Amino acid sequence: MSLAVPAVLLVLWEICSRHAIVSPRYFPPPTTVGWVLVDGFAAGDLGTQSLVTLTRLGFAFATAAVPGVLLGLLMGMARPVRDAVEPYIAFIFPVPKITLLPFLTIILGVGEPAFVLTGATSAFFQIVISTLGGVQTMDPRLLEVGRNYGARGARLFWKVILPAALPAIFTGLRLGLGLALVALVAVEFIAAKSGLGHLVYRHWQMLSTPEMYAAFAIVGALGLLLTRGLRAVQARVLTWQEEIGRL
Amino acid sequence: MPTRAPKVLVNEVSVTFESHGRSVVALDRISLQAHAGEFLCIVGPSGSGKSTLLRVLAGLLPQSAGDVRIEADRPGTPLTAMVFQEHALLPWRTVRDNVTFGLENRGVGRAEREARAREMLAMVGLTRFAQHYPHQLSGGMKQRVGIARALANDPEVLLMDEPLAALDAQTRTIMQEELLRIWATLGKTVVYVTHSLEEALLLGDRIVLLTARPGRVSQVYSVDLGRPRGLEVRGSPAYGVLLEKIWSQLREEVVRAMAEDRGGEPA
Ligand SMILES: Nc1ncnc2c1ncn2[C@@H]1O[C@H](COP(=O)(O)OP(=O)(O)OP(=O)(O)O)[C@@H](O)[C@H]1O
Ligand SMILES: [Mg+2]
Repeated sequence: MSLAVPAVLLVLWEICSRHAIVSPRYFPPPTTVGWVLVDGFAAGDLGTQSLVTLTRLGFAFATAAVPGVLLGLLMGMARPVRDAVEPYIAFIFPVPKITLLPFLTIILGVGEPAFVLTGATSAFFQIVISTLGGVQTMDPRLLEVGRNYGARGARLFWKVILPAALPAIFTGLRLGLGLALVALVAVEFIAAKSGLGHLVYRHWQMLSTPEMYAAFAIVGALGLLLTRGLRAVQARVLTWQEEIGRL
Repeated sequence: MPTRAPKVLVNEVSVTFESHGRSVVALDRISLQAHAGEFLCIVGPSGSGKSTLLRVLAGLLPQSAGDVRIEADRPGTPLTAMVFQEHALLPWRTVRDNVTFGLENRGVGRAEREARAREMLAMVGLTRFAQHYPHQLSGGMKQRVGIARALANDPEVLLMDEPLAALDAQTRTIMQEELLRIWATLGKTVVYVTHSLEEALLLGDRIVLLTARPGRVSQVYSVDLGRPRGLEVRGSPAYGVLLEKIWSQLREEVVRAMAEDRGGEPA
């Protein structure tokens, strides 16, 4: 079972920590972290802080998704657009988007727009690249099928190109969502005064390690849940796909 | 018997591909005709331009020189419908929606589309699979959907590019018989590309043999083996004579093609 390995590791960690084989100060027992999580959601601000991060993620993803898919499709279908834009994409894509934060704060000031936009750019480039890949790697015979069977222009796009690229678009959205979360937690760690990333930072500063690990755990769980969610949507929408691999 | 009215006219057609700064002549001044209702088979070594010829006929590829004409006697119907090698079904459409794809693009109403799909799926024996997706079908079934899709579009000329090449021997034999039956029912003009001389002799009214690259017409053979034709034709002496005659010519071309691909002299 896929749960066996982490379970064993957690138990080992618990034992080592309780018997001070590893420093309980730096590696508090998982049960302690568990109680911090329960308390934090019940009485503390873990719920609020999670919501702050989720809201930023929502705005970032929404900002990135539509333009990203559109640009990717356009680049895939119009050679001149691709030739004009591709160098910039190739240039910016490998740059960790957190390094855009100083630049964005200079323009927008320190605040939500700069934070959200950092997350959005992170998702945007991934979505563009995946979508473009989806159009470029489509079976060229399907285009011939479309043309031979009378689908031209807009009809060819809606009936052939877009459906063919859809699996890659979904992959791009999923990866983009994950990257946006990464960037946002980093932004919160460095610059924001709220959110899960900020919690990690604050508790690290105060060496309150159980709280720090609790925030970690929520970030991880969020990433897992959101990616799984998008995958479920994909399985719903693309029933025709042979198989949608498990995460 | 096919009537003598010409349906497909290919006149001195050449196709040259430019790739990586080199130009490849795929077709070199090809001329041929298919009569209305004729089953015309094209055979030739790999790379002799058979698929290229079909794509020119389908209007998917412009010829570099020469002209192609397809006589349209029924306005409003498409000139061609292609059965692609390895089916090329749209994976996001059900079997039925693949079959109605061409009709949908022409604005045929839903009721009529579905009636036509039912009819064609019955003809290829896939009625029960109308709501399946392509990935749920076997190779032979996908190929039959490809054929039903082309038939449903009711073209002036049916173009088939090695439609049975990917099938196992048993399925292929059954499909050949089905094709004969369907063709006899519908009386369509068919241009049919195949690697198999046996298949061409079983199906065709005439066989056009192309030379190794660049593709030219080497010989045109009439297949005077009578109709309706079934598998038993393989036992007839005339069949053996014709097969031998075409094969000796084709063999020369294939050896030449292989030698050229190796970049050496003919063996
Ligand atoms: N898009 C293309 N660009 C460049 N060369 C091409 C292209 N399409 C075909 N060719 C070349 O044209 C020639 C004829 O190709 P074609 O696919 O028509 O051959 P074929 O007779 O169908 O072969 P096979 O029996 O293997 O299917 C080949 O030499 C091939 O390399
Ligand atoms: Mg071919």
